[in-house]
Amino acid sequence: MYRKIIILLLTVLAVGTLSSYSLNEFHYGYKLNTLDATAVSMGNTGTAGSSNPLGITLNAVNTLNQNKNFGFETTINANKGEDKRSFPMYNSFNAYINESTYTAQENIFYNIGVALAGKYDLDNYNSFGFGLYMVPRYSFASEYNEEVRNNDNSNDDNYPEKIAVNKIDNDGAIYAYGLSLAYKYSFDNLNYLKSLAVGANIEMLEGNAESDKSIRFTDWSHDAIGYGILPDYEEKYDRDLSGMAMQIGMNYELNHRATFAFTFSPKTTIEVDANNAINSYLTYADSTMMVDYPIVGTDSLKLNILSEDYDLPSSYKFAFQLRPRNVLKTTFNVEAELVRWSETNKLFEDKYNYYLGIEHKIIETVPVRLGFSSTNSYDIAYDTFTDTYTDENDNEVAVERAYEYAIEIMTPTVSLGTGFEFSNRLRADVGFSYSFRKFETLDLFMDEYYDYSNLWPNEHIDIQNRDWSNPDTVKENIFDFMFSLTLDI
Amino acid sequence: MKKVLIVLLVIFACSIAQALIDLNTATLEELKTLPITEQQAQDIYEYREFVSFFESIFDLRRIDSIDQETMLKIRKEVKISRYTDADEVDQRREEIGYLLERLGESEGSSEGMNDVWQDYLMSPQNINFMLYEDLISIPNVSAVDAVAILKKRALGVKFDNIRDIRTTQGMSYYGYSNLRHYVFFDDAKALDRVYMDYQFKIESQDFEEDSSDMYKEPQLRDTYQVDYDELIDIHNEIRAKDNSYYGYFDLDKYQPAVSHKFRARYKNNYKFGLMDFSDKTITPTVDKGWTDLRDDAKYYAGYEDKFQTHEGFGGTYFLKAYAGHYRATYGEGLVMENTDFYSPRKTGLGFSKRIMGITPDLSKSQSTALRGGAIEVKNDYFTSSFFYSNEKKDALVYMEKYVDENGKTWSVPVKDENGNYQVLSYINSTIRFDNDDLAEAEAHFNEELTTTETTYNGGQTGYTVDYMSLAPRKNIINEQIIGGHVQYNPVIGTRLGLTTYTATYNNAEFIVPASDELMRLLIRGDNNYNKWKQPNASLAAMYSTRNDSYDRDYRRVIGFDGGTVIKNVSIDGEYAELSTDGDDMKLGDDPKAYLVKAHTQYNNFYFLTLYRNYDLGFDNPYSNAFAEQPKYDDTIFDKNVYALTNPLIADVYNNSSQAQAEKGVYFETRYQFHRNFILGRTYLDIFERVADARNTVRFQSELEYRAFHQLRFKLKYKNQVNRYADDAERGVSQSQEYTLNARMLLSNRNFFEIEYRYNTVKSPPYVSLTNPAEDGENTHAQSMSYMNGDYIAVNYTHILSPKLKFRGSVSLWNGYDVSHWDWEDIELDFMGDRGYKYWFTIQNNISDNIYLSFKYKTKIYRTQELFIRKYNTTDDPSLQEMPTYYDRVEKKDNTFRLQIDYRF
Repeated sequence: MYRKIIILLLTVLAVGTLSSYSLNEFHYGYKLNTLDATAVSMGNTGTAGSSNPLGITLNAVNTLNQNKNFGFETTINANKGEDKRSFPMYNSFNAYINESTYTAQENIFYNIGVALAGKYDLDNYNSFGFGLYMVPRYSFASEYNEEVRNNDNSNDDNYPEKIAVNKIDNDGAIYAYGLSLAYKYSFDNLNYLKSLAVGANIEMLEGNAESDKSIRFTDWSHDAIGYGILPDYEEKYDRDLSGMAMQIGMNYELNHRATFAFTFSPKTTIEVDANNAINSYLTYADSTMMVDYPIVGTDSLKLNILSEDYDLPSSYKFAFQLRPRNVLKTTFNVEAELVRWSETNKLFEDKYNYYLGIEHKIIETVPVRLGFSSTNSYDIAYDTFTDTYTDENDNEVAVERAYEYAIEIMTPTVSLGTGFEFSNRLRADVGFSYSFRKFETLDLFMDEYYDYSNLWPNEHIDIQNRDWSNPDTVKENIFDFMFSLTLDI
Repeated sequence: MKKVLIVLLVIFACSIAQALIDLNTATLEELKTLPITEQQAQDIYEYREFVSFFESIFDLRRIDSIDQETMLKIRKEVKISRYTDADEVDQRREEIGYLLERLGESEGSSEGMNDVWQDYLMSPQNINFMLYEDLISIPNVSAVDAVAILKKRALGVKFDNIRDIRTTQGMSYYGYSNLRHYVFFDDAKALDRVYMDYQFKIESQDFEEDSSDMYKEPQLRDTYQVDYDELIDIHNEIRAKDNSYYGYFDLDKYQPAVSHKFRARYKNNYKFGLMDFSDKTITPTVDKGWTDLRDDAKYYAGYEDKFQTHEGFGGTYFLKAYAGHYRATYGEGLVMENTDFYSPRKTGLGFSKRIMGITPDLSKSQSTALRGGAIEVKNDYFTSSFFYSNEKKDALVYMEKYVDENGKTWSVPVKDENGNYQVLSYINSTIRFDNDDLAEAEAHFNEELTTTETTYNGGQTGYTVDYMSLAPRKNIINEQIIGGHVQYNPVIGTRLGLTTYTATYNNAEFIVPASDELMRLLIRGDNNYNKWKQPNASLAAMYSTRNDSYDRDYRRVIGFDGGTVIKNVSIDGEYAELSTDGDDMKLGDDPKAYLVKAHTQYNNFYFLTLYRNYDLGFDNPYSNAFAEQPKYDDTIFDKNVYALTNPLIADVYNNSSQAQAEKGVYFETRYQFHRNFILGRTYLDIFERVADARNTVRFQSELEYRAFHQLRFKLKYKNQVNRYADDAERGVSQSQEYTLNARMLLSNRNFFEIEYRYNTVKSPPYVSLTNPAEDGENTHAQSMSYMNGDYIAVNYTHILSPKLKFRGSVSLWNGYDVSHWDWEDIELDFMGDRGYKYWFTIQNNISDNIYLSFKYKTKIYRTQELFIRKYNTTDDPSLQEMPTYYDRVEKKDNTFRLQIDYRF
């Protein structure tokens, strides 16, 4: 039976593609904390005391917590990401009242991860742990579709005409291929220390991120304006990403109830090999011609930044696991993490993330897991401003300059999950998590691009770009479903 | 002793006990010697360590791997001793766990009183020494109950057990059933140990409607009396979101409030506490420096004890001494009750208790927080307390215009020749922005105020007030308070007290101009002067430290209170005066406030009569007395935020904790007249708002029918009529509310409830929403409006185990122009427009001393926002075809709350 299940799993893994979580992790990718269903349903906790093989990605010392000597775990993750963008609305007093949603995305994607972990007890005091894993660490993929319509006919209950179609198609991920090693020394007679363990994860990070952003005017627009006038637009970025990462972990087992753990991940540099292009096309009745696209300040800044190597911040995580005597056989995890964002960009500040998880066993073999986490991340946005200076001939010259913004995104997540035992060696766990976040960002496709008067038959319109005084509000709902299968040998 | 071992086996069993393995104490190795598999031994060990001790051999069957056969096989080889690792403190927590839970959750509305009650729950006071104030400070214990206990004690009776309380003559059942948890019968219960509580709370909350409007109100509006073409232009303009405080400070950013609260005490004698709180735009605790913590955090260290003296010296004395933050509460809260939290109809009885005297303070109150030192000494006959506070306070400060070299207009606090700030009033800001941030924001808004081309002011261009002339500033007033309370109790239950305090300001003076001038100061454009109506008299009556007849640097309030108990009737009252131009020692020559109440109590019936009369000029920020409405209700701060030069100053009303000036009589009763029927809390309030002599009558009644224990129905009716005596004016408004509630108590203490509410409002047209009638301008009929709305909710509580409880609710409402209030598990939610919401709470005892509660709520408004008010515009026919509403607006809020309590 096991063989059948493994074959089935491998088949699913083969067709699984990489997922998208959010458009906003365009630069650094969306960080996947773990792919272990148990950890996810317990609020991404498990740095202290996780006994699942994929738990070693949180802390190498977890290799020593395997239920048997050797464990194998694989996880399939289905993710549904919702992205709603809205612009601010004002009432007749010109008072800002609310947001009006103008586009909504809904995408479903899949992920997989595998891990092997084992331990070897040399004697009653010395134990060694080892593990291998392959998990996606940062996902870049995302999709976005927006139809630009004019406001014609809307008074008569007709659909307004479609002017252009905007698309973003991002794909790719950074995979971590890791090796875990750990050592534990158990103490006999100390009532303040049961065991002490240290370990390390060494990861090779490899991946690719592709991005394709385009604006294509519709036939209706070409008909309305005339062929050869409206420029279609295309941005392409192709980045190969690689680097090495490390994580050091420690466990301090106070007694069989309480365990403290600490992990440290140093700053990691991701080397980028980039291939970028911005193009423009003119459409004629029977052909398409590429034309020069003027690279403005924002575009050049974006091209530069995307070609540069980037740093992942170092982080310190403190974890505590408590297993009190409770009729529900409870495990309680609480973790706090300091991420040194300030190391990677002067616009960023250091942030604390919090994780909390509970497992109850309502009946012996069926756990109920609940979790909550609150994490922070950053993205970069760009804008331009017009600067003037006086040249040597005393002429005032206007130049367009670009600058960066840091967008801080807080993500609270609630999660729940359970598990089933097929036998004492094979078990399945499921986890579900829901994250919601809300933040502001600039319009992805600025409106002035479509400012051709014939496209807007209604006279009462004045197309302007909305800048940071009227940014979009982005609301995201992220639903994650994880299914893990663990085999103890 | 950490572990208590009770061996039940009698001596004859001891000889064979040696050979048997005790399942509750055996090591894993010992368990492995039993004739079972290694896995089974491991499972038994894990069950005992992580689930429960064994109470009988049959508990083995709860373990999956142990079948009947295995159990029978080892039955003869094992024994079960009575064993627990819970010490007395754990056991006490178990006993009162549900009360602690309830108090822990409802911290918000009780303003720190729960901390005191929690301590007394854990370390009950000895009832044989408690004084009158101690007894009436306990929830649901009335003055009549307290006197009953004291009289019984005076007869020489010592209370030895709860039966002694129950059998006390004159003691109500409610009083007894609450008091028994808070008292003990000797001093042994306060264990000789250190108690510590840590609470962590993270929550995201939306702004309440008032605050939300205030922050969203932009700093620049064109007049809305524009013709059609101009209107179209306005709506096509790209408007800047940062023209409002909401957009400028990015207040829709997701940033939950985080609070840490730590309390420690040794027995009930030495106490220490620290609380810090961060919210939107406020620095998180972990990033705060010492100076920030000193200014923003709440903390205290205190000592409480009792001293026995010779009978001739007054018997037993009780001493309290606190340094840091403390609360002081006396009488009916007219002179001193320092809380920022306003609750309507605070009678000081039942669930709206006051804890008398000095208590430590870790509440979120900032505006009325006292920081310094306080001492209280009392015995059966005398009570005296003195307090000193030296704290910086937030205030609403007068600003002057300053244009810098870049042409930027700043609002800078005005200082007089002595360097004193000119202040209008205290302010309790919803968000306490840093002063530098506020100054930057004001400069940003001033730019638009100075450059607007709107025509006002008799044809001149620009606003009447073209800069922020009043603004809140954090920690700007140096306030020193010295105050005290002395009380004499001639006989049991009778007392006479005197309370006073003087707040001295060494760097500020309070200046309140006359009404007309104040109007011009607060309102930005003269087109809104017609919004300045009679209730604003309460703004003009604010306290000034300087006027035509005096000039001083302090505010002083003096008052006396007293009360007595005659059989089952308690009579209490307080009289207070704010010193202005009268003589401090003379009654009636200064603005005054007084309150008298009589409370009659029977076992199944009580009746309260209360009369209050507060002068308009009685402006005491430290008072928190009985009233229907908080101060400044219906003023421009409440109704016309958009007309203010600086909308932030509306917080003077939004977070006001003072009672409004009103006079009137209030009756309240509850009567269980049949085993199955209860007339629930029923009240009638007839009062007049002093500012504009508006009469109001408000009535509410509940009838509960308990069909049988598990099924209860409740019918509730509420009726409020404003200006009922105003026949000549079209000002009468009436709201009525009907609620039907059915509760089902299911098995295992699970609980199901369904509630339906229907309400109607009849009111005069809101002239603030329409323009003054002018020819051809206003087509809206000026007649009575009639609005209605309804609400339906379902609540369910499921107790999965004593350690895990789920609660959830779904509700749906059609508000139209009517709003609803809803008590969720601990928060009060305001619901306008139309919408639906659901929430659930998980309450979870991780272990005996870790308690966790998580709440998640989604609230969805389905609103149609007014695009343009048709009736305010010209009769241009094309306007009639314009879409009147934006249909697509939907507002959805996700909020959560996570609270962890760790008691150790």
